[in-house]
Amino acid sequence: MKHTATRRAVLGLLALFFAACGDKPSDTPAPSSGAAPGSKAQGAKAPATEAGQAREEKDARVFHRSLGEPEYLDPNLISESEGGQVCHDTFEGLFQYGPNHKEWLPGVAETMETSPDGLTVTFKLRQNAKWSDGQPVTARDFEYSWKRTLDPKTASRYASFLWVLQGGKEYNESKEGPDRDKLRDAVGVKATDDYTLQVKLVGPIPYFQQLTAFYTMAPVPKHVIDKHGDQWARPENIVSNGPWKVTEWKSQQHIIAVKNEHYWDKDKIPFDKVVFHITQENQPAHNMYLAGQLDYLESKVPESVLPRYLKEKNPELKSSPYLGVYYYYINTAKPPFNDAKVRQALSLAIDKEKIGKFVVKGGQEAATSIVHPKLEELGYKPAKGSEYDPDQARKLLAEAGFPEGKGFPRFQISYNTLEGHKLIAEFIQQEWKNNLGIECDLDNMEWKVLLKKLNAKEYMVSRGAWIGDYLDPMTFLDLWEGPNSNNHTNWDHPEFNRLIADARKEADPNKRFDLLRQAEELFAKELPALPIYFYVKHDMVKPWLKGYQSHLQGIHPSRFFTIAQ
Amino acid sequence: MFQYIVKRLLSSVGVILIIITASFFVMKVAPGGPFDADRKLPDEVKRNIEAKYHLDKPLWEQYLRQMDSIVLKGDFGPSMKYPDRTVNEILAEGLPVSLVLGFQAMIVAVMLGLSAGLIAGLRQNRWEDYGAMTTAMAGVSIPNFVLAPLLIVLFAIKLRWFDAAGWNGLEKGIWGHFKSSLLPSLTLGVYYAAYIARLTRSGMLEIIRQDYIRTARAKGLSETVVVARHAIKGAVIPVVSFLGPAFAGMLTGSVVIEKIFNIPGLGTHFVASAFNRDYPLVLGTIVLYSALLVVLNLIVDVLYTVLDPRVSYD
Repeated sequence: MKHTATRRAVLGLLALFFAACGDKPSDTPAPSSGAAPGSKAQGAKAPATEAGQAREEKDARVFHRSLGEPEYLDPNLISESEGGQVCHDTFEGLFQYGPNHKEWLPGVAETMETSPDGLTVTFKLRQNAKWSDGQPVTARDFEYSWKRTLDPKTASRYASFLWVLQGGKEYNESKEGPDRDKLRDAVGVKATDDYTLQVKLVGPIPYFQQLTAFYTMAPVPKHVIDKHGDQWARPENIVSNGPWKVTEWKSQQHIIAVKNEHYWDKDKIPFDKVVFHITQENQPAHNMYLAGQLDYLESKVPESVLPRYLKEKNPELKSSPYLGVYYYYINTAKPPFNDAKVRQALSLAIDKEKIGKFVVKGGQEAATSIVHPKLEELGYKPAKGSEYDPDQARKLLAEAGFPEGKGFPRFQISYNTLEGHKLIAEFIQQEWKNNLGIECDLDNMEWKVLLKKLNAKEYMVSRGAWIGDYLDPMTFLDLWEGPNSNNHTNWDHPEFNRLIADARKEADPNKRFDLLRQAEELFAKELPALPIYFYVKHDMVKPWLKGYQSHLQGIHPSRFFTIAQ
Repeated sequence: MFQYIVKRLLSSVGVILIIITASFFVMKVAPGGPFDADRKLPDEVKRNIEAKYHLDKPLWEQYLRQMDSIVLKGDFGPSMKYPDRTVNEILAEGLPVSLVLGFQAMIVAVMLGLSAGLIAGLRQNRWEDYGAMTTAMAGVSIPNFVLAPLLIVLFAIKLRWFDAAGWNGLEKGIWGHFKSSLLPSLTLGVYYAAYIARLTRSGMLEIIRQDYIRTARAKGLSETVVVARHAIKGAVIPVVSFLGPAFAGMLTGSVVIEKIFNIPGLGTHFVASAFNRDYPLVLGTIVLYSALLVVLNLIVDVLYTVLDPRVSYD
């Protein structure tokens, strides 16, 4: 277009003019941490929430909360927290999550009985549980659901959760053919009558009760799936058994769930309607929260405002430890990273305390080992790896043959493109340079590209993270077993593998924790990945919303909230 | 004229086919696939999913299948990220929203732009001119990702007049709709308004010096009639030629606005589908956008002949 040149000139002049004017006087500290420089909405200098602001919704029986766009709402298929959040409000498993991570409430099951060897679990189901279309929820719905999850045709991402069932893995990995039906029948879950479910496990699984609350193991209505096929979970067809049922899903706008009149405990349902407002980005969700459109902002607190809220001790901000760990994968097949001393040196040379305080600025706790420290509440003693010690790091590096970093090959830190990851990578790059005298380059790429590199093990050092699936050290440890498909490090340690295998068979909880701790200590010594920090989850809760409690897994079902107006 | 339109449409079909082909192969070259996630799927399961979407077939067969279903049936197939929904459904949900947003932004742009431009043109080198043109300059220069948050903080968070983000259709009433859509329309329209103002002003300055305007004045017509009946028509020709690209720009350029205001239009899918490797959705948005651009350009070219008798395609 012919005007382009003029326009550029005009733009340039004005840019100069505005630059000369300088920033508008700002009472906020520079939002240096999170949001990317080009981050669209960063300019929004959100004022601290003021007292006396009004709620947009006048009805106290309607709850407005934030959400990201789910992929789908079929419990057997959900593999991300967005779908999970909706599912926790609309479906109910044998047990259900409590208001905090220490409490578990009975769901469809009234009792659970475990045999002394821990291999057989029998659930007695309540007889008044109903689907939202009035049909009874029976043990057969659970048997159907679990086998459906394991069916290779269903292609559930979380099917491996059900590998704890006898024959689960075999059926899930079976090839097309006549054997598949036999394998299906051999899976260790059986409805012995309408209200009794008998489960055979591959080993004693002390966290099995927790798993039954997880969305993958929720029941699904066979009669509805038979009728609608893979369209059954669309809002116009879906039938669920939780306190609410989804009636409307407008992509990128909202999901509306209304009270399930057939729910067995319907008198305790605090809201007639739950509205999940869908936003992709944090900033619009936060703006909606500030404008009173949301009662509850779940984890979508923009990094640009977080340090200020933390500093001001904003009472609406709720920060709690979250069952996740941020780490750097090391490709242990590539020299010099095949030497555990090198990996130790790399870990010792990073002052991880500084990352939580000055780099990501969300109050994250430095990690020296891999199991979340909060799991000590279970009676487990998480291992302590070594802390920041640059002298020791230099010593180890010299022992490995690289005194003062001399001769250490230049390598890359790979990470998926995100401002937060970049800042951490830059910090670590500096630490290694200053403390060890070794040089590395930063290599950022799109998430899918990084995944491909990790799976093909074509990297040297890469950013990674793991969110625990259940409250047990195992969720952070079996990841590092040699053959685990999520272990991208080429680390295959026979002793570690043995400890994990033994722990799987151990029925005595204390001995089991002991084995797991030995495994963790081995991990902390060998460091196939360098733990960096443990996650923190930040939520915002309006003053009129009551009932919020911190939950290590970040699960906050709507049923534990009420609105006081 | 008719012949011309048919010819243009035919060549557009060719253009779109080339675009589909190019996009298909480019996106297949990108590493990673729709079903890669941080939790790796067991191989057997992954094979099952890929078979469902024919991703296990050779590339040429995938291409032919895709072409066949797009060209012959107008069907882009199921989305790979949102398996419950088809791409056609997703586009059908997003397109009207983007169109309404673009249309409202267009009204904002034309109304503000034309009036500011006409005033400036008629009052050349007076304070009205300088005022209007300075504002226009600011409108062009302030990026929408700066303007939008300013408007949100002032009108949504402080004053609570409008929604901070989100989109209401007409099911919440006209006010409900405007409450959610006025700020984004304004943000999107202001840049184009400023541009239109400058175009109108220069058009006006040129036309007002033409002989036929002098004739009109000499006939004793009042200044209002001279401007309204004779000058405006000539002055807006450059504006009309700008409207087509402007509308296309508002549709495609609304990606940023859609993000800031969380509007469920096409823009979000345009970007996200590529990151998700949702191949059918990528193709769907690309085809839709290119079709829109082609059609809008054609409309502009046709409109030219209506406004300017000197232009003819016969």
